[in-house]
Amino acid sequence: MHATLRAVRWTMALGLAVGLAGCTTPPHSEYVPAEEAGVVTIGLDDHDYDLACEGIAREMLTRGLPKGFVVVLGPVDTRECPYDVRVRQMQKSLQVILNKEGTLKFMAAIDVMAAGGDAGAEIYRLIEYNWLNQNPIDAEDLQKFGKLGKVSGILFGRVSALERRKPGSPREITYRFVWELANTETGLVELSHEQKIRKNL
Amino acid sequence: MKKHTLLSVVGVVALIALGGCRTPPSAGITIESYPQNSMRVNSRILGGWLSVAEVNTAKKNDLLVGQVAAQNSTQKDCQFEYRFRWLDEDGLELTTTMSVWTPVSVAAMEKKMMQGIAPSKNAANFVFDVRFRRPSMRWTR
Repeated sequence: MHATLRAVRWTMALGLAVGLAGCTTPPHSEYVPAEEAGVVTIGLDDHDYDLACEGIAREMLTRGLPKGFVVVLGPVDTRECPYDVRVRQMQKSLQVILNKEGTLKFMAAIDVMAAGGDAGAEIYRLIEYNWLNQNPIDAEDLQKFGKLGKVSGILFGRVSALERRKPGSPREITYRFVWELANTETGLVELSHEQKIRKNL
Repeated sequence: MKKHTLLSVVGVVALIALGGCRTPPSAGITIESYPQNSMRVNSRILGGWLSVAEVNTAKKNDLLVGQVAAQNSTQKDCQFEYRFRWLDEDGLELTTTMSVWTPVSVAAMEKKMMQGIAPSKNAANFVFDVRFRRPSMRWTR
């Protein structure tokens, strides 16, 4: 009887040791995968920028713009977002995605203003003023800027944030990205895209 | 005798509980596209929640487009993440920041369509990964 119980106890102990052996975790590194979400905060995080850029890039690739189409990132209105919006970072990320694809060329409007000279810079300021004040896009201004800067389209953006909190609930923030791609040759809006990112914290 | 019985029961329970202590696999369902269209379920847990209803591929403007429809086969809402990874003809992965883990929520018994477009004309296949939502800080100590 005692021998049997002893055998059972040893078996249990052995089984426990085997089970525990599966619990050991490998050592941690200070480096964490960059493609993971990482730290999530109320503001726009690195992962949010990836999602936003992926969204508009996917839309532009799906739309199938002509080969050699040069798109510049124009004014991005972030005044309805209380948190920092790194527009230049988004522009660079989009540039990498689209240049890898090869059909479109993408750059920032300020990079091409030099090509247009003072006239180009002046027209861009007009375009920017109209966008920020929610005036209609002037087709003639677009065409002039397109000719001076040798660009085919301008991508306008608007980033807004809506934050809500009910008593006893986590904070919820919704970022809304609205993009419009205007063709500088026709003066028409060729592409409109809206994307929302919502977080509960 | 009662003490021995109790110890035995505790030991068995601990063994069963600790048996599940291993780190779960990172990918839930993996699908490899055209021309294989095969699917691998790497997680029993996720496989119990989601089933792949259909896989479609198409070419749009010379770019490979993949669409996967996943069905929530349970009566509960589920949150998970998915991403598309793109392979060229030789099976080499194309590096792109468009392969980002995208969070989605699917309601009970809902069919969710997820679509991705290749970042380059060189893409010939795609791998579709799905996993449960993970805490963002799990990689830190």
